[in-house]
Amino acid sequence: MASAGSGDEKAAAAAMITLISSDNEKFEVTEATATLSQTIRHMIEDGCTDGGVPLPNVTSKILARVIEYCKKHATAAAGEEGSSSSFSDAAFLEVDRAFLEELEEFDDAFLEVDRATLFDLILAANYLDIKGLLNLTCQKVADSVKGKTPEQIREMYNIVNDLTPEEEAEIRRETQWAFE
Amino acid sequence: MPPKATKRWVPVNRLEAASHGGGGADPAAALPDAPLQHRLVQPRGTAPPKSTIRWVPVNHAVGASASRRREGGDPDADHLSALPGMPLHHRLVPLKNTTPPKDTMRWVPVNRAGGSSASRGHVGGDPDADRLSALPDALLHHIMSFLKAWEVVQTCVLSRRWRHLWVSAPCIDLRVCGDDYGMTPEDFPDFVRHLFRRRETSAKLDTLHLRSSDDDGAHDEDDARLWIRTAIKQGARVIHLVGHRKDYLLRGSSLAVLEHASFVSCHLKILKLSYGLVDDNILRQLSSHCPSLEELNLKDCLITGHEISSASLKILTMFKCKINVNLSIAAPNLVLLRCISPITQAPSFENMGSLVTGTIVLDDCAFGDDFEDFSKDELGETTDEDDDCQDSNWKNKTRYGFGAPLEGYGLYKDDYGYGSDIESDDNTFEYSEIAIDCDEYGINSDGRNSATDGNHQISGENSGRNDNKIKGGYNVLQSLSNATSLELLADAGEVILTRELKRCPSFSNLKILSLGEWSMDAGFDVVYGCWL
Repeated sequence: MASAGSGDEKAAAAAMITLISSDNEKFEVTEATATLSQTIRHMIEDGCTDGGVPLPNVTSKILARVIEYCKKHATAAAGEEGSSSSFSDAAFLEVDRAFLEELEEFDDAFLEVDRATLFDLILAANYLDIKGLLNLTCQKVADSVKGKTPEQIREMYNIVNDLTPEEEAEIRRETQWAFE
Repeated sequence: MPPKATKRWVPVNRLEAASHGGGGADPAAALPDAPLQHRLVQPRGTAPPKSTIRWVPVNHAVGASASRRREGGDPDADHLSALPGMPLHHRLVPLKNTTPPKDTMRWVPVNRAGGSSASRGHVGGDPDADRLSALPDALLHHIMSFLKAWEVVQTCVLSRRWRHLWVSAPCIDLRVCGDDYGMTPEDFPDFVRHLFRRRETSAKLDTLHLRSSDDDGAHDEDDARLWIRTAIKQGARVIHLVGHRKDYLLRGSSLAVLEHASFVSCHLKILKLSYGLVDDNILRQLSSHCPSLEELNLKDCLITGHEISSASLKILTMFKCKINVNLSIAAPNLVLLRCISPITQAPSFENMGSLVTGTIVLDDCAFGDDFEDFSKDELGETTDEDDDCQDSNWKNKTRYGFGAPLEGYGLYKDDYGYGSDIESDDNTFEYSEIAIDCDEYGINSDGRNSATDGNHQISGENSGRNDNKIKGGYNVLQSLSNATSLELLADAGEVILTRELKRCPSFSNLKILSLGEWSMDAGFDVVYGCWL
C-alpha cells in the first residue's frame, strides 16, 4: 500500500484518515491534509470516515498527486498559524514570503503534467471539492486557450468539429459581434 | 467479448447496453450526451434506482479486461460515470451510500437516451480523446471564468458541444487590459449589448468584472453603469468594478465616479471596488438597499461617505483607502475585518460584536492632510492586484489572509465563486505584499538591527508630528474585543493604537495575536496587562 502520509511530521499527534482509491489502494493522511477537501471535511464532520474513505472516482495515481498537493498546502496553512503567534513579525513576514514563493514554485511544478493527468486532476478536484486545486488546474486550461484561434484550440484539445460548414457559417453570422 | 464473471447484472430492457455486447461494454460509451448536464442536478448517492433512472452495476473486473482498458482504474469511465454527478462545489452526500457493494462492482447509470459520448471523441484511455469537451458544463464554465468575455463567446464555433455553452456562463469578465488590445471586439459596447441580450434569461449571471471606463475610450462610465444595472437585473451576486489609475496623470482623475451608479439589489453579495470614489450615496445604497451584501472590498478607493452601516456585512476589507471624512463603520455581523493602511484618517468602529478575525495596519505617516501617498500609489505598478493584466496572468497563487485563514472559520462558502480572483486574489493579501507596504512606510524593517533603527527613525518622525492631527480610529481596539484572532501592525509609537490601548479593552476570546513594533513601544506590561 502506498504510504503517502508517513512523511508527515505531525502524524503522530494528528488524527489520521485513510483514503481508498478506486483501485483500492489505501492512503493514510492527516486530518489537516484531508480536510483541504471540502467533501472529506464534511464526511469527517458527519463521522463517516471510520474504516477509511472510499473514493471510487479517483485512481491511486491521481489520488497520490492530489494528496501531494494537499499536504503541501496544508503545511502552508499550519505553518502560518504556528508562526503568527510570534512577536517578531518582521522575521515572520520574511519566512512567509519565502514560503509563499516556494508554494508558488510547487504549484507551477505540480502543473507540469500531461494533459490527461491534468483533466484527471480537474475531475478529482471537483469531486473532492478542493477549491485551490480546482482553480489551479482550470486556470491552467484557460491559460492554454488564451489568444488562440478556434482552429488552434481544436487542434490542441482534439476537439472534433462536428459542425457542418453551413452551421459554422450560421454561428459565425449570429455571433459576428464577438469576432470583429 | 462475453463476460467472464457471472456477477455482471444484465441490464433490463436496454437497447444500448445490449448493443455493447455485455462485458466489454465501455460504460463511458454507454453514456449519452445529455447526462453531463442532467446529472448535475441529480444528487449523487441516490444509489437505489429512481423512477427515471435505472442503475446497472458494471462489473469492474470484467470491464477492465476489455482489450483497450488501461491499468489503474478506468480514468475515463470513472469520470463519466461518477464525477459529473456532483455539481461544482456541491456538498457531497456521504460516500458510504455510493460505495459499490463489492470491490469489483460499480454502479453506473446507463439508461439515458441519446447519442454515445463517443461522438465527442471520448474514448476510454485514448490519448487523442477530447477530454476538454467531455467535462461537465459546470467545469467548462469554471474554466471560462478565467477567460475574458469575448474569449468565452468565441468558443461557440469549436464544435456543437460548445455552441451554446457560453450563453449560460455565469461569469462575465469585461476588463480589457494591455494584452487584449487587438483581440477585443472593435465596438465594445455593442459587443456587451449583444452579450447580455443573448445570454439565456434563465441562466443566472453570477459575477461581473468590469472597468469603469476604457483607456482608449472604447467605453465610458455611462456604459459601465448600464452594464452594472443589467448585471444586477440578471441577479448578479458578485460585482467587481475597477477604476483607472493608468491615466491618472494624464487626465488628473482616475477614479471610477460612481455617483449615479446603482447597486441596489437584493442579490448582490460581494462588491469589490478598486480605484473608485465611494461617496455618501454609494454607502447609503450599500447600507440600506443591499440586504444580501456580505462582503465589501474597497481597494485604493477614495472614501467621502460618512457611514457604513450594514447588518448583513460579514467581511469588510479596506486596503489603502483614502478616507477624507470621519467614517464610522457599524456592522454587527461582521466576522472579518481588514483595515490595511488607511490614508488621511482611520475609520472609527462601533458595534462589531461578531468579529472573529481582525487585521489592522496603521501608519501615522499616512495620517494628516499632507500625506500624498494616494497619488504616489498610482505610479507604483508592482503591487497592484487589480491591474487586470496581472489578474489574467495570475497563476492562482494561494494567498493568505493577513490573519488566520478564512476557511478555518468556514466563512467562504463554496458557492462563492467563479473566477479565482474573486475570492482569493483581492480579498486576501499576500504577506509579501503587506510586507512591502510595511517596508515602504517603515512599519517593518527587514532585520532585527534595522528594525531598531526604524524604531528610532519613526519615533523621531512622530515626535515632530502633532498627535492631535491624527484623526479617526476611535474604538478600533474596543470593537475588536470579541475576536479570536488579531493582527495589529503599526510602527512604534503609533498614536491611534497607543491611545486606544489606554482604554484597556479586554479580549476574552483571543487565541492568536500578532503585534507590530508599536506594542514594544507601548510597553509589554500594558499589553499583557490589558490583553491577557
